[in-house]
Amino acid sequence: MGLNVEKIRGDFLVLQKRIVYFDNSCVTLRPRQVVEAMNKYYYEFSGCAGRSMHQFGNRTTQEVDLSRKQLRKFIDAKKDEEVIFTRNTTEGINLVANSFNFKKGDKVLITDKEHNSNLLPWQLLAEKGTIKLEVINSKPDNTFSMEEFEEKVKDAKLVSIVHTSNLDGVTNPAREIIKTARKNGVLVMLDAAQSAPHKELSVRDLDVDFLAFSGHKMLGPSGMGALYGKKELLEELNPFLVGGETVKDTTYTSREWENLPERFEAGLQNYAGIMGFAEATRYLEKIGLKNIEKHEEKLNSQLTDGLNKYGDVKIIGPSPDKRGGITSFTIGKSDPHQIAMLLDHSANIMIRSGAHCVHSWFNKHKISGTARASLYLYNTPQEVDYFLENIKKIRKLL
Amino acid sequence: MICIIALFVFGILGVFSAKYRLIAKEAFDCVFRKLTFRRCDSRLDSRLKAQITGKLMKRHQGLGRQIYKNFEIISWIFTILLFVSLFYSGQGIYYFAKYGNCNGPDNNGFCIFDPLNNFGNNNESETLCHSPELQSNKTLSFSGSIDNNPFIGNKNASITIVEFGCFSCPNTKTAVPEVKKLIDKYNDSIMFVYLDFPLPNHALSYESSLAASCIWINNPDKYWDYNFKIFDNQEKLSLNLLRQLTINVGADIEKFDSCLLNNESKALVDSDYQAGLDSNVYGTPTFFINNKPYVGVISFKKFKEIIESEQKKE
Ligand SMILES: Cc1ncc(COP(=O)(O)O)c(C=O)c1O
Repeated sequence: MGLNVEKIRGDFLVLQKRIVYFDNSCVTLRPRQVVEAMNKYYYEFSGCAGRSMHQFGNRTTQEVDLSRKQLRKFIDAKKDEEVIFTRNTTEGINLVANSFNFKKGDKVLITDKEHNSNLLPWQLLAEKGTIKLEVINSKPDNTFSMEEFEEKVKDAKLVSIVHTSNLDGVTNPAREIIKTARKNGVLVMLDAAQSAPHKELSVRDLDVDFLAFSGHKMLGPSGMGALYGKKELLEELNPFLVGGETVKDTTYTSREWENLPERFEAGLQNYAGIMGFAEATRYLEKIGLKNIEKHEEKLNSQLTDGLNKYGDVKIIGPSPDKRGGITSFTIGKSDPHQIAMLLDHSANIMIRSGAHCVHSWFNKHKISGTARASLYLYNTPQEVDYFLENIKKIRKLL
Repeated sequence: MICIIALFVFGILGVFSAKYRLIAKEAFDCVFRKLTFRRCDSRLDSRLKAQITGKLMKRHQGLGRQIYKNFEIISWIFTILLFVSLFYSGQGIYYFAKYGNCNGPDNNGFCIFDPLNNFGNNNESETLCHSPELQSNKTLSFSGSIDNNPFIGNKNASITIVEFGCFSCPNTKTAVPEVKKLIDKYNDSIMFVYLDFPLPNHALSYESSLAASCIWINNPDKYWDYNFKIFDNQEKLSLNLLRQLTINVGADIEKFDSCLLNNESKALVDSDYQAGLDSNVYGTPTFFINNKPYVGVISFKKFKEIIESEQKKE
């Protein structure tokens, strides 16, 4: 079953503007349903969850619980308490990095294509001497090097890698990576910021240990994310953001930690955001992530074919079937920011430009940045054609 | 370069809106960095470049392309123009402060700080009620008598200013405050005379002239008060109001009524009008200053200049 894109577009009020939005890897647009779910909280029962015993408090607690159940279902986790609400992927990764019981000298592996959010938390730990950080280099076509991984994983403690790269859209072979890690008794954390929105995920099927993702990259509200962790592993973490809600009881010198998942959700939460996030995942489920994935792939090969007509256009990464909905490219030696700004001002097409928070990779390859088009369920072949038409015009300027 | 222009433009807009203040601050940052040979971090320059050429490309691709390619040169040209115009604005402000005229000591050209100064012969189409029946191509030259006409000032003065006015003409009304200032300031050195030139296409203009002349005939000391009051009430003129104003200025209402009833002032008004025609006047207000014609409203400043130059001649 294909997508009814026309109907989907009707749910996104911003699309009534004459714009083409191709910056979905950064943040997506939001459908009416998500905004309404949040408004419902604010307009009808804006209380606080898990503490107050009045009707608003009870309703909020109930809705937050239901939202958590929905997210558990979305990623196919076993237990509700394995889902911890965060502000974003970044917070999820920081939470694991700073709460994990590392022994001095434990080795952590990352790839050479990590977002700063999955580089800096580890880099700081390494600088403090808590861990040893090693980087797995990609193959020449920018895909994951299983060989190098197998070599380096042997004495590692934890592998934290990006699932789908926001740089070029390449999805790493998570299943094999995890299998190999398991054999060596190594834990795996996935940065699913770019995969959860675009692919069907089952944490149980993958057997992944930790997985972090962001709501705003999947039709959800800004500043909303989630961290999945296997229950027995979460139990062993030391909370690092602590305060209200994270404890059952305190004295001046001691405390009794709250159960999962509240132990890791310090302070008053973004209740409306949680509800909006859950609604976004319901929306995606209804449309079907397999359908979305196929739709993006089709659009992306149309886009890639169009760009490949020009000799001076260089696309980062392999063929479009391996790049989901993301195409990162350069035109000759021209400044990617100029490409993005010209597309915006002359044609109302919004794309991202720069180093996409993967500076380390760009520095390694001595490239200053790329322009990046990233697609989603509401984008159409007509929009791709329009984009290509305008690339043609802009090329003449640059 | 473009940042310098942006700094000025957004600096000024920033006075009104915080949004522009932010851009101005970025522009300042940019200019400062460029002056110290560093890169403009905020990329304001390339953002503006893309924004301007992008918008142009929507309308005309070729033009957008040309501007994009030559953006730096064009920015330079505009920056130079900016400084040139800043220089002249500065000079204008200096002159205005020093001489009360932004064009320098001996110049009466257009000055934005003082738009009335421009009233005079050049601008007559905007400051003149032109009688549709009269032709404007004949040379104006005052011919007529002012012996019986309302006057104010010094009867023996060497400067005589004659105004042909119409009570229903909005431009004659515009001239009133200038005339008042003139009379105030030069009471001793001029004689100011008012002649009726009631334009036939203006409602109640003739009736107002008849009424005012009746006041002049019966209560000359109330005349100027009455004259100015008619202009004050120009938009709501009526026969009743003309009568009411008579009472308001304290003139004799019975004499006024009988003057009008018996057409006592008709001869005076008609002879004024005839004098106007003989002098080739074709609209109001028209002034003759020592017989030199000035068509349209004259600002006080201009009056002052003319009077001063007349005085120098003596
Ligand atoms: C691969 C990847 N990881 C992490 C992040 C960080 O996500 P967030 O800013 O939502 O924490 C992003 C966002 O661009 C991303 O693409």
